[in-house]
Amino acid sequence: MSQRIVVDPITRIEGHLRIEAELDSANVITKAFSSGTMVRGIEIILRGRDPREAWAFAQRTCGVCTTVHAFASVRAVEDALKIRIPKNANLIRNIMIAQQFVHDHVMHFYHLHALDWVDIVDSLKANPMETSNIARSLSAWPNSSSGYFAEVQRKVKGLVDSGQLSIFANAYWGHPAYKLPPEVNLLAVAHYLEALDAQADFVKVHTVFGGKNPHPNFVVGGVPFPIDPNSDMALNAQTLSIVKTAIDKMKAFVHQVYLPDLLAIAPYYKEYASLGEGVGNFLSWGEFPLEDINDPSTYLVPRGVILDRDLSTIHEADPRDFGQVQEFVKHSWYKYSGGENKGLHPWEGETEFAYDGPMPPYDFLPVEERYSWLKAPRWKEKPMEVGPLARVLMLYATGNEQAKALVEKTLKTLDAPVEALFSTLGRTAARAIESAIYVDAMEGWYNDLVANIASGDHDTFNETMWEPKNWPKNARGVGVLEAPRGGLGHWVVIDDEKITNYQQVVPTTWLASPRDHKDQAGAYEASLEGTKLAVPDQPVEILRTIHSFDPCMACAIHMIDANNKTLGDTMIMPSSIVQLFSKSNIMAPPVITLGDMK
Amino acid sequence: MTANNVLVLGLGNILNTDEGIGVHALWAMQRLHKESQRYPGIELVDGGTLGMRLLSYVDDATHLILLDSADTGQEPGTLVELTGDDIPLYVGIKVSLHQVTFQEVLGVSLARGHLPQHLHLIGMQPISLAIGADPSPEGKAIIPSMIQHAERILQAWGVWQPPH
Repeated sequence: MSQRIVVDPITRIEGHLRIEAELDSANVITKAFSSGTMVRGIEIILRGRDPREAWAFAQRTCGVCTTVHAFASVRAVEDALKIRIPKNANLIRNIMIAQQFVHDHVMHFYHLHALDWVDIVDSLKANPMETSNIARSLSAWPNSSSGYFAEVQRKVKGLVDSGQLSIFANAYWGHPAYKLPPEVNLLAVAHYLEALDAQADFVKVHTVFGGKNPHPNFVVGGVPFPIDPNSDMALNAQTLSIVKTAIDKMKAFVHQVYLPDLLAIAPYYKEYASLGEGVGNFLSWGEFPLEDINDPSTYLVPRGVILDRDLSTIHEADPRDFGQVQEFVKHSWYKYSGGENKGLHPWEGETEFAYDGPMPPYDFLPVEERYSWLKAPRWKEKPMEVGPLARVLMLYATGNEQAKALVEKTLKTLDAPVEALFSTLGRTAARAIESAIYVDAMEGWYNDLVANIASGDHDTFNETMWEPKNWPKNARGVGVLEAPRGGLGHWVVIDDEKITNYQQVVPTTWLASPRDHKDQAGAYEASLEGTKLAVPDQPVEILRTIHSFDPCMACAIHMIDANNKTLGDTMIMPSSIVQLFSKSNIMAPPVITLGDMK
Repeated sequence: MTANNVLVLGLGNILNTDEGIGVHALWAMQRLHKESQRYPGIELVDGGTLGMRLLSYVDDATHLILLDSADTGQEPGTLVELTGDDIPLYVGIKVSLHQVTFQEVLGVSLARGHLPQHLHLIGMQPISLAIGADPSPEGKAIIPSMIQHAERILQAWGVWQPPH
């Protein structure tokens, strides 16, 4: 009997992800289709606005990625207006972006991804003394006594016993796909709880550089605060020391907890080192300009493309090239004036809705026709993977010493060849590896910043092009940036001081892309094919691979059998306080967004 | 915990009209405070959809009011209020970190022993969730009522007095 699994949408933030996967009689996925079922409207909201305020709207595109969207937006406008930012501003931005990486990756690993691999309830069976021995063999992290782990175990027991506090409810505990011994489960649970506390320290970087508001301030031309060693209102030695403390804490956590945990857990799941690859093509826009943003050869993470797993050749990537980045809509609910098989570069991008899908509630999408609100971005008409694996491969292939050492250590731990990187596990490992590289680099940028200030350079803002009267009548710019989950681009067109076109190509659009004009699958779609599900109505295997991409969209899963009948909900994940009260609203894709369409 | 730490948190996405009603209401309170120092000693925070990044704000609060859009299946524009234990706390498997719900932030705060003793939600059933950076006109007209509800709670908690 074949059947289809549907991973259905709900979220309030970025858009909705829905995956339809066809299983054969052995419960192996034969084909998968990825659909964004909610339209994003930032392009429409920004049309006609002052480009200097675009970041304030762009940062709300995504609840968790506010910083990277704001930076991509200000970079795009700075590019259009030919603004060079001061050295101090560049260093501060690098530190803020790197902070975002470390914060996101730690939270991704412990709060999202760990539950795919770690059976929290099973940790109650652990011998705390044994966990302590394991912890001490892994790193010098101080919280490693048997008494400490026994205390964590008591806490977990209290939580499990307490009922409504369902931190441990609604997961697949006891599922046969969980393979860790209880002692390693306990170690991971302890570090999960520590990560929650640690992240509050990590964000102190942003309270210094961005203000106390959880949405930091940004400015086209630099950073929105002065440096003045003699003023309490400016960046000074005291506030800089807060940043230093936060960097030190991140560094310790990544090197002593996150990376060792990854290496301790990964060997139990070696089969995921040959599963979940995706498309085998990788794009990195590059990140962390050390000098000039217009010269990618100075970046810490190189810009480029890897094709067909071939690490010996790095192809040049140019976000301005009309023949390189194009978005296709053959399987997407948009209409292009030039026809459905044409690809458009974002500067010429069109956002005209053309929904012709079924009216919700529905069982299946017409996957042979149009089935997604995501366009299909392609590089020279090829699907790409962006994100941690793309960046680590780029660093590794170009000879970055630290990346080489960390990759080799990981492969040795797994006793696996370099091809093992092209996998679910490789992607998850890449996230920890790059965190280690960036947290060390962050310390270097901090030292450079302090030295530059000490040399008398207090400049943080280039005001020469602030006034629109100095702007060209027509301008266009691109701001690309590596966000934690992958390469992000904002393309802006400015005419007569106002935005006339604004297009974003976000990491999840590359990754969750539907099929294109040549019917080539996107990265999620390709990554799921061949995966076998042990218990089809508890598809933890799908979650492991999709989670390894760190999707920017949310889903719930329910099962549908071959007769188009819902078998029952395996997971309902309410996305806002309220949807919890109204299950029917959770199940129905967001029909409300359609009301606004032409 | 000795000193009170009173927090009003506006939640939601301002790119989808009434989805962002909690943030718009919060901004209105910030404007009132800027004009006339109406809310001394009360922290007014635009939480947007930041999820887990709001954990330290929640952990540190003794009194917490949440302003949000709320789909409770009622008539559009209806205000609903929930207090303390009536707000379900929730943590579980999810597909995206972007899916971290605010209940989950509350759940994690509770799990670690930091949940504010005083907790109150004021939510509006959205009238429109269309694309747009402003609330619907009807939603906008309900904001003063949301603020009144918030002030009534703050007063009942004994942490705020209306100016004379």
